[in-house]
Amino acid sequence: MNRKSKIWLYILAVVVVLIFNFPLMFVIVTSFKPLGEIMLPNLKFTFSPTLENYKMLFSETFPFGKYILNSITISLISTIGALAVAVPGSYGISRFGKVKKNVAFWILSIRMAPPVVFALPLFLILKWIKLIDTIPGLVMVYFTFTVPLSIWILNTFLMEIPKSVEESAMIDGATRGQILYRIIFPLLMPGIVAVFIMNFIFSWNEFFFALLMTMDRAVTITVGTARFVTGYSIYWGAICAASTISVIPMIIMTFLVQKYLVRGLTMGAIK
Amino acid sequence: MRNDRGWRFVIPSVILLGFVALFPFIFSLYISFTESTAYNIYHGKFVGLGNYISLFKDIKFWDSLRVTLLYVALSVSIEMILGFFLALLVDSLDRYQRLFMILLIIPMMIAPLVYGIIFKLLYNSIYGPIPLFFRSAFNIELQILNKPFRALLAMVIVDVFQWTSFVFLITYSALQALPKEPFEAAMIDGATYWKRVRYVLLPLIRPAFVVIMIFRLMDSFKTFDQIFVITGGGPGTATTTLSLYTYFLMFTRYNFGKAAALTVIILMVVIVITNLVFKRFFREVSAVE
Amino acid sequence: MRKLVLILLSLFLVVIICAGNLPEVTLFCRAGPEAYGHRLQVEYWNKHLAQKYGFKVRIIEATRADYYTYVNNTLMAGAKTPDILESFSGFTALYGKSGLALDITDWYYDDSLFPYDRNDWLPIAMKLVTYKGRIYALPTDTNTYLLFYRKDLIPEPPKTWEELYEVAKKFTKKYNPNSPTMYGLAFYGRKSESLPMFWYQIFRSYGGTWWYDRPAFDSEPAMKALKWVVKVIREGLVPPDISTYEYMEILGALQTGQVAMAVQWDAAYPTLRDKKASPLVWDKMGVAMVPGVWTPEGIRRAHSAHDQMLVINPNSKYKKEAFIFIAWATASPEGAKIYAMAGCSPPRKSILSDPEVLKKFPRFSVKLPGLDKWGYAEPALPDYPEMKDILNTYLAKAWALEIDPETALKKANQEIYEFLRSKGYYK
Repeated sequence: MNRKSKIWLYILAVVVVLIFNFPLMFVIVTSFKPLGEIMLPNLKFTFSPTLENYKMLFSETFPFGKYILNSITISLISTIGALAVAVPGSYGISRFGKVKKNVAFWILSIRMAPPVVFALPLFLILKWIKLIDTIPGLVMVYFTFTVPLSIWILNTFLMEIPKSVEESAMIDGATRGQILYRIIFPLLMPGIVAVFIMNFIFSWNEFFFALLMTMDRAVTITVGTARFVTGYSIYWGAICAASTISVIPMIIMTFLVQKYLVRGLTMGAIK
Repeated sequence: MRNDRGWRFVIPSVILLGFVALFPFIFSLYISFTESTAYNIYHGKFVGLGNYISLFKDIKFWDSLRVTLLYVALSVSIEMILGFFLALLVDSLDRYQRLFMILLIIPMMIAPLVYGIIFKLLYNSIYGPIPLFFRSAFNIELQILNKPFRALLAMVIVDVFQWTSFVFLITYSALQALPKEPFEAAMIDGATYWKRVRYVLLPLIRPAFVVIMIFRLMDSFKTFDQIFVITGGGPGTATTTLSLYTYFLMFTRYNFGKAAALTVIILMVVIVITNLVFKRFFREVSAVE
Repeated sequence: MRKLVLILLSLFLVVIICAGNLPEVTLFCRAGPEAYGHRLQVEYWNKHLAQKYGFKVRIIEATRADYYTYVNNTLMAGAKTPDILESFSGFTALYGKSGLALDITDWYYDDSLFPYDRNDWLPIAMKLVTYKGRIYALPTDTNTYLLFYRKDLIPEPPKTWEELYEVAKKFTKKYNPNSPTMYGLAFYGRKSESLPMFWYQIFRSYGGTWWYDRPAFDSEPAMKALKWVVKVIREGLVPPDISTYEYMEILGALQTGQVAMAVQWDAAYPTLRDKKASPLVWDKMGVAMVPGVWTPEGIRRAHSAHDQMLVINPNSKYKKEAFIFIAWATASPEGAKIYAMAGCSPPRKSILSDPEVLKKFPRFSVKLPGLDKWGYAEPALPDYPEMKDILNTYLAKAWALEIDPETALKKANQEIYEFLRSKGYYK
């Protein structure tokens, strides 16, 4: 391709980036607008920037810091916990023919069911074991989607690792467990990082379960954001400020592990 | 290779998922045969298949099924096509590929709830920037949420805005992992760019594409947050998906029996679809072995 | 790694133990004006009365989205906390039948526990918390719809639905290019608790009642009421996305000054009169009673009434304390006044006609007579939530112009009849 068409490609790429990030840019701009200038009946591109929306986030009635902390804890535990069972789980599924069909199928079905299917029974179960409105309770609920997702991505990744590696180790007398943790685990690292990021994003952004299962102690960042829809007014500015703050850690995290992310999500494209 | 001890590794996942998913399912199954309601959750009158029959007679159930399928078909196909071309575009850049990649996957890092709230503002007919823009630029009164199909399309657009990035990310990752030799060979043969894409690249990333499609199918089938925030299922029942309908049965009507029957039906539908997908594609994906 | 997770999990379990000197009663309510009022009450209580009565109160504010789902789930699951929950009078019958909320009738008639005037309530307010003669909650607010209109544009608010239609047309740009507002009117359109309650007012003012020998939602008044709504929507006198309109959307439409009138819950009044929240219209908002219909005896109106109410969790450890607090918060002169001055509307006649309160919130001079004369309650059936949702679905379909009013109401009525029959209300 010649130089000129390359330039057009870059222009196209920039345009696409702008279009798809329009909602985010809108969120960021709105987060600096004063409340009175958000709902206007005519188009206006200038406004007097203000920090009042960000100040509102950390006022006494909206303990937003606590919500962030809750979200971090919940997302981390549900992600790491899911990985803890999913690494051996996906290994088992990918390496043992008998196991594969039934379990993988079953796990895929769970992943596919809408959350509303689990809503009421899980609520009652959490009540029975007294975990409603607690961090462990919500973590447990989040396992319904983090575990299947982890097993799935890791499974496709594991299938790309040739079996010959294990076979030679097995001849040397290593057990299955040793093989998993000494040989497979390091090879699996990009997959694990990718799964970590995906699960973290999904847990961080989950709203439905968090709304139903928390009220005070374990309120997460999304439910906290929805609290700005008060009876007085929808505080668009504060909602946008909260969203801006909650997306920044995600972007930084993704930026740091971009290399692994791309290597971990090939989904069986390598032959 | 020894096949007998594979279960050992799978047991923790199975126990955990059994607790958080199988147990709720059994509970739902039990409730679905009773006339369970808010004042009588556990000891509702046994009605056999009554709830299922009343669902099959319920036109709103069929409506919501139709809406869901339409929503899933539209959003997934648009996302797959857009995401694929975006991946091709970024992959063909010489420099700054990673920067563009990060920028393009930002949408999937934002909560669907936030997309819901923002598009609710953007779509508003009085002060929403989108109708305002059309009014001042073209003097058109753009009415977005007033007609059934238009409202559904508006929901699809929100989904596309957010989840094209997911398709893009995985397609791009797959493209990065492809071996370069077939392309070079095709290039030497003088094949044009689009021919190379069609005959070399597409077959190679097909397995990855299938996995992405499965993921998108699953997730758009489950969509709840944005629709609930923007339209709440309206106008009329035009955007009431199965998720929303179940939600209304469960938490507005407190008709737990019928809601549970619906969840069981949804699970059945899910299992059938999964089974089809599985039979058709899983072997393909795992053919690597 | 799994061990680490287990350790973390158990750590969090341990952390969830809190201690305090006085017992603490928890009050659960939704963010917004009510929570603001309750917060002031709780502050007052903990400062002045906690020592005397021997317990403190802690307030928990919850997200407004989906609030009642959480409240009812909590009650159904039999949780021990929170002790007091803010709920809504549409559930009174359900609570009564199920025992999900504590029956407080005996305590209410005990002078040592309820030392306040029992005749000061608006009658409708107590009716709404009573099911089969037993009381299940105490009302904090009794709300109704009012007609909000622009005083600067409309000197005399419309009295009937027909007048409302005419005035709305006059202030719609489509029909009157000189109109300062884009649309003449706004009301509820999103399928929600409020949509049928808005429609009932037209239905009842045309002479509708809930039942004949069957449910009466396909009667003549019902048809007239729905046809009126559909006419207004079809002719474009309301914003085109009316199907998404709920409390906040109506509020927003009024705040932008692009809608001349709206039928809205009276609770929106303080926000609309607040200069900072509504800079464009704060000094131009007037309120009137909901329009009605001319009859030979004069005008007939109907005001949907509903209570925000405090219920006591039957599994609570501090039931009696909870009752003492809710009695104080709803009925005592100082408790109710703190609440009223925060912008809420306790259904106590003495408070609603208190000069200081009236001066700050002049809407009470419209609301009190409206509720007193025209207030009515929704049917008190335990299965009412489901019945209402059936009606709601069909109304929303008619709102969206998906089906015509007659079909909508006929189908709704038939489905409601069959549903009620399956529950044994009809033989």
